[in-house]
Amino acid sequence: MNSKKFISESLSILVIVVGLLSSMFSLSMDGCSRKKPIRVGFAGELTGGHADLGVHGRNGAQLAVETINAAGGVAGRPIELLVRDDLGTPEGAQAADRKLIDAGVVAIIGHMTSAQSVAAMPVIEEAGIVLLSPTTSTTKLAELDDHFFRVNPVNSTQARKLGRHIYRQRGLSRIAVIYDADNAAYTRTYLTAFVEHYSALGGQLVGRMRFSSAHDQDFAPLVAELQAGTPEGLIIIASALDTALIAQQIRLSAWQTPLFSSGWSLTEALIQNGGQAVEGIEIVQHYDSNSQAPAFLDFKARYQARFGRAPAFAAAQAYEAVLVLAAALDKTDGQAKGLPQALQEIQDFRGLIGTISLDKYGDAVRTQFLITIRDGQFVVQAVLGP
Amino acid sequence: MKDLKTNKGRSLDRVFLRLLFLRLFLPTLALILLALGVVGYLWQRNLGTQQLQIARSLAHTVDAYLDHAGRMLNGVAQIAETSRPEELASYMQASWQAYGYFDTIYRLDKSGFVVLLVPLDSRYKGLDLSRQPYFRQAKERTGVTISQPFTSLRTGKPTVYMTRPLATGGLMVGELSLEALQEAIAAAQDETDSSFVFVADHAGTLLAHPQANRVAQQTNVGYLKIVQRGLTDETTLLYFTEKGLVLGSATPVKRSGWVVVDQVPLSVAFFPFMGAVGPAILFSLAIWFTLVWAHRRQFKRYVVKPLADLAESTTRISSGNLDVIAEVKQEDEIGALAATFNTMTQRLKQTMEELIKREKLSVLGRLTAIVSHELRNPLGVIRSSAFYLEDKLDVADDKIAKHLQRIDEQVGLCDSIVDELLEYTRGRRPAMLLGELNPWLEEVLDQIAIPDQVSLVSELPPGLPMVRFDREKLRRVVINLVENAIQAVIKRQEQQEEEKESYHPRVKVATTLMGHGVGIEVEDNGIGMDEETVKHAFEPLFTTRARGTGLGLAIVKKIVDEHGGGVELSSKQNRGTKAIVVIPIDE
Repeated sequence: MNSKKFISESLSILVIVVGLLSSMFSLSMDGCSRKKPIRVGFAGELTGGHADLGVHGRNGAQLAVETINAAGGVAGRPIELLVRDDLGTPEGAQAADRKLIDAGVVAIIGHMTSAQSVAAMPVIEEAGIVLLSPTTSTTKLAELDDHFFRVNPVNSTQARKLGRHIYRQRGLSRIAVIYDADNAAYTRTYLTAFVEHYSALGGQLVGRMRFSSAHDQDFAPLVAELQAGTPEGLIIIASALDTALIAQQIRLSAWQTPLFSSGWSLTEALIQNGGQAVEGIEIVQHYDSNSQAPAFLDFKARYQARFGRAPAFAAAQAYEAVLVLAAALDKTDGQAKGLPQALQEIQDFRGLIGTISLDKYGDAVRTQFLITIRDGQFVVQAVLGP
Repeated sequence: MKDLKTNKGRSLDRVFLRLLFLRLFLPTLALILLALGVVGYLWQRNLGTQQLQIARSLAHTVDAYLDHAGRMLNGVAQIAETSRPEELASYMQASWQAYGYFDTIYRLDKSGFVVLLVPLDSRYKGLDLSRQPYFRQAKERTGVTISQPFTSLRTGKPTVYMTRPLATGGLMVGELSLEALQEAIAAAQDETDSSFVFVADHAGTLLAHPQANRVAQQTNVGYLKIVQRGLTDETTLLYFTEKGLVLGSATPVKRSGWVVVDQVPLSVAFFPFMGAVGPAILFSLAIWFTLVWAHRRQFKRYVVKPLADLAESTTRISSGNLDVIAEVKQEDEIGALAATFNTMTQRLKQTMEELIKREKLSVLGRLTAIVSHELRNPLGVIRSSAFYLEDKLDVADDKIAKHLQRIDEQVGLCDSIVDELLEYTRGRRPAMLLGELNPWLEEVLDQIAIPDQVSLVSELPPGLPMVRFDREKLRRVVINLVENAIQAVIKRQEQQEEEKESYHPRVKVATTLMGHGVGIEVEDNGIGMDEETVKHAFEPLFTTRARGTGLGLAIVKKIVDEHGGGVELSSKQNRGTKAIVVIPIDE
């Protein structure tokens, strides 16, 4: 009997020592076994000429995740942001989302451009998880009872408002358009909505030019052709970079004409790459970069300190998207199950500038602004209402 | 009994084990762990220093890279300041191709418009880049400046701009190739180095990273403390990444406000350490086990078991068995204990035997004294009555006379028996008087009734020294011895008559000088005694006769002892017996 006790005593010592060793091992191996994090995915274009949206979006989402984790996370668990580049192509979007789904994310923040969001939906629906976009505004995904949600209103609103502004405020009745066919889900829907309203008001579309941003484009001949049609103004529905280059080309061609652009181009890339050529360009967007709302100022300051530059609308909206998602995850206790329901219940959510409400299809409604570039800065010229 | 043994075994064993555990193993283990801790700490410190060296050298590499790029840009700028545009174009193209530092080089005029761009592309000519953030800054500075990361207008890749204002107005801009930077870093690293190097700008945006796509995606790692601290001072930190615990060393690149971070996963570096530590601990544990086991057996054999055995022996003794002997197997203290134990047991046994004997004698003595004393009176009465009868009755009747005589004799016999008993048990103190033995002895011998057929011879040489003796007591001694002798010869005579042999019974009494005393010898040629009988002859209550108290010789011994002398018996069966009493000479 005493030998049994001896054995058990020394075995317990052995266990302690082995336990110590193995814990030292595991400690040096993987990270602390804290509470299991909630995995959230982000998918957007992070490389290439149009990466400004994706990078801002990712940064905004990252800042939001860091903010939430610092405050204790969601349902006591930290959020882990998994980021993937959708390369700005439909295939890239699907591949990125598949990878994120395989990694076990409860939802995906993205995509930043309409074309990619539309392309990704089959994959999303098959997996049955939520895709919450900060900036996708295509009407193609509007009013659908699906897993797609957004904190961005549909672009038809902006398009109509631009149409009214051009016709009524600017008094231009002959307008030409150049758009990026690669993001047709956005550009075409925008154009359709614009033309519908503009024509109804009495305006006329006299020129229509498409280009492909995927291919290295020489804008000179395109601009020349447009100029030949003698429109009273030109709408450029393209990314910030492309809009800037087209504007530069227009200036180089010594063609003085009022320029307008869609909300897609509202990042600093437009100003930096557009130079003097984009001075006075008018854009309808729901983002006021000079807003004095305290939440927004705080966000702006933190973003600047964190990333070394001012946030674009994509960043702010991605930030808000993560906050909205976190609020919904709080309701579902960090689970993907029940998330669509929880998101639909989001009403009057305090965003950075105003409030966000999601309708039953997950589409958002926001206030729109008329923004121009003056002396190399975005300036709000008028408030156009929701 | 079993319980006792186990109990002792368990508690001593336990003590032993506890002792070994607390005093030997735990301290050893603590020492080992302490040593490990110290070694581990020192090793980690050393590793940290090592890593910092690597970070420093890589920061130097980055710095050198920027320096060379700046010089190259400077060279191009100088050419631009002095040469004609056509020449500049070819020179810029050649330089751009020759050195890999820049992805794009272009010249801006005063207003920020592109004058010339290599790789040559006419689409960029005349582009207004005045709003590029570096432009305003660059114009205000002299020399080469480094911008924060941007997305290149031409390539769409993140890049860093180097700008150099031209004396003739305008700016020479080079878009730094971050891939070339990454290659320079990779080249500077040792092949065997398992560490992981990345470069970040002041906001934490990656500029160089082994995974190129992380740079392309403008990934930001500003949340890392190592980055935050490393931007201003050299730092070494232990922290967790998704790959586990790492040791990171960071050095700022002052020229550009960047930070170079060098990470080494501890698990990789730990492995060899653990590989040594783990077995070391297990080995020492194994040694301890073996030691303890071996010692425990020894301890059991040489301490526990002997003690347990002794305990058992004690138990047996206490239940009455005094013949128990403890085995003395070893020569140490335990062996000594066992030996002492045995000695004690022997003494105990002897003492017990003596006590019993004395007790017996004491009881016997008291009993005898009482009985004898009680007998004395009735005997006296019988004697006086016999005497009266003798006096009053007709003595002419032979029969009556005979019977009266018989009564007298028998009463006398009873008397002497009672006397003997009393003498033996009570016995008054001897009254020693100095005197000559021979005359006294003659008298005594005269008074002894000797049967006719026995011849009594006495040899009493003169000139013997005087001795102190009690006449009464010594008389009894002589009487006893002589009577024994007479009995012996009569017995032999009977035996001889049966065998029809002639025999002359003879008893001799002699006195002689013997050393320090005078000896009285009583010798007979009677039936003798065997060895056993001789041994026990002087024991009280020992007799070979059918009648008699068996106290005769015991009384002799007692009286002789009182005189300070000694008595000896020697005998041969069917030959005779000799008794010698030695009375010491009065000095």
